[in-house]
Amino acid sequence: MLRHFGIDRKAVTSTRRSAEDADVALIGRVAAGDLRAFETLFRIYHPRLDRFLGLMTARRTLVEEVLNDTMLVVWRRSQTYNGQSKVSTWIFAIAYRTALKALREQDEPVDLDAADELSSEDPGPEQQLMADQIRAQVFRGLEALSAEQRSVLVLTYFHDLPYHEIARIVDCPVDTVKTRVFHGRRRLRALLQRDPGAGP
Amino acid sequence: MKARILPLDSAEHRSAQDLLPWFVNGTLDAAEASSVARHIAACERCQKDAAEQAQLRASASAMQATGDLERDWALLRSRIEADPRAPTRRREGASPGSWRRWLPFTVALQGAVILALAVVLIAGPAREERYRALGAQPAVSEANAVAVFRGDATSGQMRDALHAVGARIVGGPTITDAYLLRLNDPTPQVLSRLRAQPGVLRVEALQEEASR
Repeated sequence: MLRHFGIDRKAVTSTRRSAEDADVALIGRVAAGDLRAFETLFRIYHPRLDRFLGLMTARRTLVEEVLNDTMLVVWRRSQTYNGQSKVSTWIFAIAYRTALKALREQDEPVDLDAADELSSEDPGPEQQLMADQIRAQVFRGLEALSAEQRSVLVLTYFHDLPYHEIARIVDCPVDTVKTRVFHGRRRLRALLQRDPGAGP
Repeated sequence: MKARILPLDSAEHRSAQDLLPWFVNGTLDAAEASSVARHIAACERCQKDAAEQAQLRASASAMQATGDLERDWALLRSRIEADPRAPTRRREGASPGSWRRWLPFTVALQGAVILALAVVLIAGPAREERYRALGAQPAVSEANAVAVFRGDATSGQMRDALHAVGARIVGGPTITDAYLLRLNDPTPQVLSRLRAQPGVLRVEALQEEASR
């Protein structure tokens, strides 16, 4: 049944484990002040944090600032990583808190045009254009949710994280994560049904 | 397999609904996954929901990061080099009561340090204050020009300007929003070309390069 949804559990588990081992080794070197190891870690996490923060904050200018601040905290506090969670969970938790703080400090309206940035710069065939439109609609739907609801949906569907890790990142009980995702996706579905030509 | 209709408020259905997002993203443990799979096989509503969520996940998987990794790294590196704070240790691994054992010694040491500082401040000779950021020196010595971009310059303009003259950012932004650059060929002609690029406000050669 999992394969029906395009998931190969063994392959996913094995890939994740080796990535986690590499992360732990890197963070150990970073804690020792190794800037080269930190650059490697930065290059691994930049695309993931960029996607997460882009969807969570919906503001490009904020993404750059929050991403930079997040990784600066990772550099400065790397010695406090104690191995009780995955390195990725630890980094995403820092990003989540930093983004929430930045969002609360800002009272400017959300930039709805940011959805356009998700479209490919080089529009290809019609199919690609359609996929881009659906993604833009999903993005607009996500924007209408609260930052807390949006975050758990993004971490679940766009970053494929297990619920217990999401609970650690957003610092709330597992049941709260399940409830937020349940209500968040119901609201997203309603929003997308109102948006003509929407996806799920 | 023919699906049967289960009551939507059954405990089994509610539990499956709660876990569906993680069934779809493949992160449930084996027992949870097999329990949800059994339920889905018999529940049309959950089949439809799972398909919808798989579609949502698929639409997201093609979303690309749009940030500029190289520029972000250059900025972060310059912040690290401008700040002397290296990775710091917090005693998270210490046992809960361990601080109490060290408290008397810490207080005594703190008192001694305060006393020593007071003596130095009152009686000590004036000394030249020197501040040097860790790692700042290599970046500064590497730089051979400094540039200020317009406030409305886009990241694309900045990148194109740097590419046009074979330059890279090795430090900054400073307090005046200037960037330290390393140019492959820091001749006056190349500096003029950089000044003429869209988005560039000011470009200056650093002293030692200018005197070459």
